[in-house]
Amino acid sequence: MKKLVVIPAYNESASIVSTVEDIKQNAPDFDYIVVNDCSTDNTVEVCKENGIRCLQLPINLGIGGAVQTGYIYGVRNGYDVVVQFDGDGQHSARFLETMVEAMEENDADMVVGSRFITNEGFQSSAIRRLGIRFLSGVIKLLTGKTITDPTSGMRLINRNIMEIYAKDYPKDYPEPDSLVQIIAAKKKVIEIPVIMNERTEGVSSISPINAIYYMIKVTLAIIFARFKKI
Amino acid sequence: MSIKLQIIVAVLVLLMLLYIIRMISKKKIDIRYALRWMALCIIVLVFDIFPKMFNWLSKVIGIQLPSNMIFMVAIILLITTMFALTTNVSRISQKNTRLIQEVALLRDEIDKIKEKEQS
Repeated sequence: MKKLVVIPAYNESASIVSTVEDIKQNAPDFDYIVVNDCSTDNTVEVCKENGIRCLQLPINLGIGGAVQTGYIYGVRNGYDVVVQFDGDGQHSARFLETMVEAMEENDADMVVGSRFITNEGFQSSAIRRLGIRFLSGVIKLLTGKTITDPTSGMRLINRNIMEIYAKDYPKDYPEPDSLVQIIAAKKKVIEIPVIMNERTEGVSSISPINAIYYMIKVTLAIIFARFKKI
Repeated sequence: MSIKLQIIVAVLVLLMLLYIIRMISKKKIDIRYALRWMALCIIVLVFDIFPKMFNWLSKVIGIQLPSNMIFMVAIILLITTMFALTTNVSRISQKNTRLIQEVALLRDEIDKIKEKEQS
């Protein structure tokens, strides 16, 4: 089985090396590819110095476009599964193998790493948890499926979903609606508990000013995704 | 409407038409986008030459003041044009995304080939 880790990186020069080390040590079966989303810092140089394989977007696309590039790469290079993995130190590679096992055991199309099953590790701020719970409720209402952590960026998908995402993936804040799109297409999505860390470097893509826009956009996108034909 | 005003409007519209045609021949504007502007020019020109038609039309539709019809038509035109532009921008940005991704992937392919050649 060919397994790929996609690491979207925007100005992650401080944490990218440790992220890749983590993968090499704790998930040695996985290949990895960093997608540098036209960083303004020296992420490219850091990758080159340390021999880290890196796709370079010539223009900044945002998280959705960057991750999708990784999925296209996965499709073209014949990978069976791809997992998205943040470059800012939030995710731990020791869960990757567990996610693959969970996918095989349950015959799932997608495995989401959730912070809110065992409620261990970094739990995000109260206001964010409230937002996540709201999105969770909307998804439950629309699809009947319980997803405890719809905003989780740690997601393993099989080849089938990879091909769908390579064609069509949301641009900004892509996690919740791309998830609903898959559930609506009757694919099997499961969650397993993971422990996430507080980001060591960089800032969240959701600033307080963006929060209201985020909630409205994502809620609308979820509703559209529910009724989208793929 | 005085004959003076009619002539001024006619000249302005004709200038606009000329400008659009020049833009088309210089390939600075696609014909399919230029068409709606040319249509607009011709409609304005027709009403300018036969202003009575305009009064008659606004009466038929039920607008008491003919000038209000101008505003209404202008606003509808602006809204539809802006909407068309929004959809165009969305489509172009989608295509743009694809291109950017393709460039990144091709760059990687080239790097791989170079590495192979060196070793």
